[in-house]
Amino acid sequence: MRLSRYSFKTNESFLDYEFISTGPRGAVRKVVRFTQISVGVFNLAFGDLEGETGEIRDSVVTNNNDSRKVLATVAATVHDFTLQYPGVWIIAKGRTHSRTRLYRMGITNNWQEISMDFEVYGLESETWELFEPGRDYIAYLVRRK
Amino acid sequence: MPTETKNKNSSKRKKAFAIVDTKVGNYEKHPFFVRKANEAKALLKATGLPKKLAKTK
Repeated sequence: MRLSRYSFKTNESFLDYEFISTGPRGAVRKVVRFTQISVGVFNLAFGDLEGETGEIRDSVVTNNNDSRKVLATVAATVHDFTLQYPGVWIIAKGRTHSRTRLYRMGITNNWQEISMDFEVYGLESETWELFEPGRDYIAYLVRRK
Repeated sequence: MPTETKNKNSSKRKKAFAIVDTKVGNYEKHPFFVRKANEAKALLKATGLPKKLAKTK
């Protein structure tokens, strides 16, 4: 089953994405960024963009009751990004353990779709293991098959 | 660090879900993403990539 997600925009580089989360807190502008950190490896990070200050807050849960939809949208940006940058690795790590667990839930919820197209690893201690739904990891690494 | 944005030209782009909009900002130098990238770089330095990659490369 494909989860609902927000429509999103990117610029010419396909490294920066934006979408609007809507819910009880109103419209929250989300930014997703893929930053190259090594040859063939990009870091995935995202947060809420504060319109007035330009600050970005590291939050997937903005009490907008849409965390699943937000994660599905971020997953869709990974799909788009890897179409433009095939063969690269994407690393993702939450700021806190609970945040990283939330990423795991996001991967698990979208696993059927993700596993068809991507190799997914989870970091356990200091070793990358093939991702197994339901297991906790420190960070995640994905690459389009 | 290698320079990024060695993107393909527009005519070779694959079909994407995203709407390309020049108004979307470039956040490459935003402190938030710089900090996140540095954290990930440190993690990757400690762990390396999965062994399977080393075999396939």
